[in-house]
Amino acid sequence: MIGFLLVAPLIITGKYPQHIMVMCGIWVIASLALNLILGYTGQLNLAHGTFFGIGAYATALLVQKIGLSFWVALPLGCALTAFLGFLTGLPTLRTKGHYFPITTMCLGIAIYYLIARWDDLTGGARGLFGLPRPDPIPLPFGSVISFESTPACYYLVLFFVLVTILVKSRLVKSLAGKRLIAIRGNEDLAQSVGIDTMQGKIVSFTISTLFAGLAGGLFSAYMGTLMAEQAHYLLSFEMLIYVMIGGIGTMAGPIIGGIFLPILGEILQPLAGFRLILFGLLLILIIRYLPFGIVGGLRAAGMHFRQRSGAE
Amino acid sequence: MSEILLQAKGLKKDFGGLRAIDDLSFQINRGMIFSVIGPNGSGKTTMFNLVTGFLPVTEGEIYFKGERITGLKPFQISRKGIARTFQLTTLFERNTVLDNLIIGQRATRESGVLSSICGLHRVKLEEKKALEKAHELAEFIGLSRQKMVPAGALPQGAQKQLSIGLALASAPELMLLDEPVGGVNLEEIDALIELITRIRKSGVTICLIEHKMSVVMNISDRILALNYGEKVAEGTPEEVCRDEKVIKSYLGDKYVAARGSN
Repeated sequence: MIGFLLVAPLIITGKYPQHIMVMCGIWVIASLALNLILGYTGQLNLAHGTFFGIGAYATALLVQKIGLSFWVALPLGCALTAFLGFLTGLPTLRTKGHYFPITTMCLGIAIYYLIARWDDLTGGARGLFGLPRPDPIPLPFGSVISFESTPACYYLVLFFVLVTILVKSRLVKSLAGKRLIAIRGNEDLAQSVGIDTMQGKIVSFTISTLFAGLAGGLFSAYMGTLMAEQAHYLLSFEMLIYVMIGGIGTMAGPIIGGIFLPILGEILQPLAGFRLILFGLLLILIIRYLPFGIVGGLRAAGMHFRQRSGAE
Repeated sequence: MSEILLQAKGLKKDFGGLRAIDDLSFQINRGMIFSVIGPNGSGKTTMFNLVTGFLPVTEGEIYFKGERITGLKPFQISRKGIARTFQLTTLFERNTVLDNLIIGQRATRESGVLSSICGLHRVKLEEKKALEKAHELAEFIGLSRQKMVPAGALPQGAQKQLSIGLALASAPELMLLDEPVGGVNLEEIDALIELITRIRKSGVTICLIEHKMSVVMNISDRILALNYGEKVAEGTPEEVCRDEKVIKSYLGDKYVAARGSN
């Protein structure tokens, strides 16, 4: 699998498919991040797309207005996004039940309008353009890794996808990760065995927004332009759909969702607006019949098959 | 005279205009099985919720091993060494028995998020210890054959056993069990009582709420009877079951009158 991913740009040489591959990588990072707070900690964050946008704008502005190198701007942008996530989490994660999704959605809408109207900083509705690609990394013997070509960006994004997967799988499998899963399972019970549920939720939310910011930062440098649409609150729902259809609370779910759905969207491009109807239908069917998405469905099928072969 | 483990002084709890607990004082000594009885709505579970910090007290103080714990959060009280179970059996249902018993050990295990991500050796060691301890606990509560079963798929009796195991995982000095044998069949009751007495033998003090009088009278060292949030009687099982006010609160005035005329 990883072997294929490494040579993919050599096999798939079309410029447009390569562009889709880069975009898929970015959505995978964002969806993996959303799954940490939603799937593993049980908190439905409807401002995830907003934090993606904040990361994108923060990185772009640090490069364009302050003149920092992308390699400095990206970590700073992520840190800023995570810090805002932390500040947002402090009041909102105290709420119970439906109030967390509602407050985060309101926040998402507010920040979208802030970005779309703040002409001096964000360029308002026109957006930012002419953002440079990441600076080349110098190598010994005078050569450089340049990021002007799409395959180079593909490898850059792939690197960060692998980092995200590594961080998340280590966290989820650890005792700390089990504590987060306990919070998702039952907050009162988690408290009763000594888990500081508020601290767990804040930590999970901060890490989740950090990686949302990372995806946003990569997006801004790759695309070269940023519009307020990239911080639109509907983006959160798009990522939510990737996670739900791929498989909520599973490691592979957001990866499958983040690759499969954007590609499906491109294939169905000729249908224009009608494809959203198809997406909606798909979502309803998945929630009704496969509550844990494609991954959950595959697991259930695997278990069914094994049991049957065991019985015979 | 053995050591006082838990002490409550003048506890009061108001829900709006309703006083659920009124001027309740009691103490639990180390090593005993202390039972709380009373009709439905008499404030037993509320009392548990006050002691474990799930509800704020309106008035009064609670001390654990001489230290004031009033106003602490539930997770802080848990880390001090008080574990509890819930009346409606609550488990991490989607997780396996083993995972439940690992999660339950939070109170005794330190492992930060950052060190977990970096995969430090110290964290791996803690994980290994937690897993070993979980196997031991599964053995102790009699669920060693169901280790990999999701908790939600266990039968009722086994779920009760696991909920006690989950509380036990935090290595408590005091365990509060809210109706540990409620809603299970006769054989399962025996297994649970046997488990509770084994836990007591291992040195854990137990406070339990129970409706089944045969259970309470047999295993308790001391009984507290509540009615309308007030203490009606307190003493050994013999003393409490002879107490007129206790009989009255369970069966009404007529029964006491009828017995008196006999």
